[in-house]
Amino acid sequence: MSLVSEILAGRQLPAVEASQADADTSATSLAGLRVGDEAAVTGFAAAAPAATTRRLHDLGFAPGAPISVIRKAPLGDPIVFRVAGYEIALRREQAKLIRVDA
Amino acid sequence: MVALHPEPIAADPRSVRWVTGADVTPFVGPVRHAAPPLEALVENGTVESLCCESDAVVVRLGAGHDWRTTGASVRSTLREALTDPQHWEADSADQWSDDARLEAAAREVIAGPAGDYVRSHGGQVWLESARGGRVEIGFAGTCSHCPAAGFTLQHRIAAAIRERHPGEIQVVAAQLEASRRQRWLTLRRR
Amino acid sequence: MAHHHGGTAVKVASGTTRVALVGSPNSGKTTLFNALTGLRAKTGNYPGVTVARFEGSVRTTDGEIVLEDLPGTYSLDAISPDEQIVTQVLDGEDLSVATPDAVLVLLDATTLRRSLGLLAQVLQVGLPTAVVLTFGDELARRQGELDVPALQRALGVRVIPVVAGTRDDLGVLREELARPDSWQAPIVPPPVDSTELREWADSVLDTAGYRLPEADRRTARIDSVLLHPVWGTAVFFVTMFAFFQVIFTLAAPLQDLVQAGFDWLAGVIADNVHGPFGGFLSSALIGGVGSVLVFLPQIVLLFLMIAVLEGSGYLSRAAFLMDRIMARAGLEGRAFVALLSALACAIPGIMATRSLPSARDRIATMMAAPLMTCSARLTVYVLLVGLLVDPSTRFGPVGAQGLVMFCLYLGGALAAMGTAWLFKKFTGRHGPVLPFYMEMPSYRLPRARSVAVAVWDAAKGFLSKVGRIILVVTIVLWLLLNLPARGTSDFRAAGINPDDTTATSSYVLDHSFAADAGRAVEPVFEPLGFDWRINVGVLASLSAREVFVATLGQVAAADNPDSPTTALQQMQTPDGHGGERKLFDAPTTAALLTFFLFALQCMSTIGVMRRETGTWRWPAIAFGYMFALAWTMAFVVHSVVSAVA
Repeated sequence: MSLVSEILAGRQLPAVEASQADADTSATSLAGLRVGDEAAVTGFAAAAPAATTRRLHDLGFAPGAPISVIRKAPLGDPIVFRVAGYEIALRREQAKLIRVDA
Repeated sequence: MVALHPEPIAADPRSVRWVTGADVTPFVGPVRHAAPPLEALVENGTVESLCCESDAVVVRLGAGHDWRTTGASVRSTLREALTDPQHWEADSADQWSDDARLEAAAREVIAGPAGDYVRSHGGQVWLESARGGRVEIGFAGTCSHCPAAGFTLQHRIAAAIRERHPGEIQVVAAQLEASRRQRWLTLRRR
Repeated sequence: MAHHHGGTAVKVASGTTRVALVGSPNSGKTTLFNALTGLRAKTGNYPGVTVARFEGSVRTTDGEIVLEDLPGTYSLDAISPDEQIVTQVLDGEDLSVATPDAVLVLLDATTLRRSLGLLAQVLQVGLPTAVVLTFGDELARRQGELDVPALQRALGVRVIPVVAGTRDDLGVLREELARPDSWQAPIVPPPVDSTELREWADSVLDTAGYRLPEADRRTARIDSVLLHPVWGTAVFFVTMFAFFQVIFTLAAPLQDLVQAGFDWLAGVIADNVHGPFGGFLSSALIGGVGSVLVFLPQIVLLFLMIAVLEGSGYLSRAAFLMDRIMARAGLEGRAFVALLSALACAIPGIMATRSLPSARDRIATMMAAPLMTCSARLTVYVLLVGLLVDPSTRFGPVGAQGLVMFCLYLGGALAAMGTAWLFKKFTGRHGPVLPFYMEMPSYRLPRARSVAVAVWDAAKGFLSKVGRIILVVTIVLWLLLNLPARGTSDFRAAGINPDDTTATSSYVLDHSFAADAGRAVEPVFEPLGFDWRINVGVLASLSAREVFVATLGQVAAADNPDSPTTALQQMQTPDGHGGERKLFDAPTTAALLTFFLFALQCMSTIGVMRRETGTWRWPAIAFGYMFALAWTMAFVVHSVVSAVA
């Protein structure tokens, strides 16, 4: 592994625990938003694998970034979000890992 | 949160302009004492001198230090120090005034890309005065008969000054005194 | 990181300046690479892994340099083998691959905020760097703003705006590429920490007066239809159905033209070159190669459509619509792209699995890809469907041949999905679950040049495959079918008139080495209705499926050199009850179609699987399960059709 990738792999991103009430409903995650909703990223679920959160971060889902929900696929999954000025599709499974302030 | 990025200064590789955006630096001009963490870098010789601009802090490294190795620590320290403006000390109290800040902004703009634009078109531009939210800019050379001079003043120079000094300010072309105009015309005639 | 800059480890070509092209997918990287290198790009592999390496020389204003197109990536924090390569190439301490002298980073002006993250990571490496800014025209169209000179000051590296394809911009770029040694690494590398990085990007974008482009209204309008739950799904299926109709209806006249050309050539040779050598030239060489070349129009059309779908941005939408369904098979939407590519050929399909970050998904998709109906199967299908179904049979507006063809494609796709699901289920349940994400690029008009290059590469690949494998196999086969050599005395001994060419050909074939091999495996294939002549074709098709067509052509030509197709239709075989039946009767032809639908009759696929997985285990498993599946399904179909007919 190279020096740069070692440094990048060592990045720590804020883990945000869901409050008890939200734990099941995923209300404070991206997956809980409806089409047209807007929110800002606060961090990542504590249970999320580190490599996954680092990649989501590099894709623009960084703490503080504003997100809007553009559309959902015919069966409700995956979901297209607008972040950092572009559109990207995530599955519910990943969207659940991203905590938002809504 | 302090958003900043470094810009090199071509004439002096030991200095870097850390661009902070408007209204972040505590004052303008030379820094006598910075807030504690940054001051520690000055004391141990990593940083030789600090100078605040209207939208940046120019940091000059001490001899024997290079930006590639110390850049990251200077960045973090500077960020921290800028969130604590009360503990910065200037050489004179004037440096804290709004007029000083406005004047610095105008001077930086004239020395920067907006001024370069005027000069590249054969014009001359200088700061006549800056106080009480009013900036007077002097023009000469091709500008004096250029129909786009007013547009350039408002859209390049005034806009750039407002970026560095937001708020209610007025930017106008200075009314040239007769003698100055005369002298210039005389020069031209010869 | 002081010891890390200027890292030059091993240089491949000494003396030549090497510049690496880094950028995220959809940033216009391939378009720019093609525009700069023309068709002078070389493809190869990185040592030890099978990530494709694209390199080409670029004419700059001062001599030539080598440009290396690195795989598209969103981050140097690699999670797939492709991304790992980018990290390794840029790392001066990694000696397994050569480190370039400088890096050219592509930034898409419409996704600048995200792209700055990748740029920041590249700048940390410390190589001399320049930035190429693409899609500035689209940024302006969508009311975004960007001051390029200010961006250049803020980044501390050269920024060259390029509206890909315009000659003037490329001129500036060629000037810059002439002196990459003058490019700089920024005086202070951008930060790594998430908060500091965000502040850095904010500060840079603010200084550059960046105004985020508005959501692309054109794309939003198109998406509201193409991704609509009802209309979008309908459009998807119509698109895919049209996809097949085009390669059959549009390609037909072109194919007839190629066929006519080869028939004419074979005729001229047969008339002028007599004896066994003439037969070798006209039957083996011209006949064999011609019967494969005839499918070139279809392959060109297929790749043309895939390139257009990809270049326009629809392929991502198709993957988005398909993701949920692919998820049923345990795969993701992007595997759909690999499986769709496998429609052209399993080899690009298998290679396309590299874009899948998860190793389990890659293996499952690789095992499934050879079941997709590739263009080589198409050649077999066209021949066999022609024997099975009369071309004039119609169900309403739909031709029966096209319908059977569609069912074969559908069957392959369903079998592939089932296989993927099984492999996903039974291969390592451990290992990290990697995230699924897929950028939805704005709809763009595909660049004619990129489409042309994609089609050219595909055609070139197909032709070189024809040239190398098929030509050799055709010659070997002709020899097998015509050796041992028979003389006039042999024919007289067997009571055949040596002047009766049909009878002598038949005698030579019946007593050839190929016939021995075909007869030897007869017990295996007998339950499927195959006789030794079909077995010869099946055995020969292991080298490549399209060889089956060439072989049957030769077998038939031996029976009736004037009209091989008629000969195939009229071939007889013992029916097992003392009588004779047509060899290509409905049950046998259907069983043969089924066999080819499932069997891994392609050594090239096995080879590429070996390379991609790094072990013989997976290709062996693939060949084994597919043969078992093919035999079983062909047996079932043979029994069912026999019972019905």
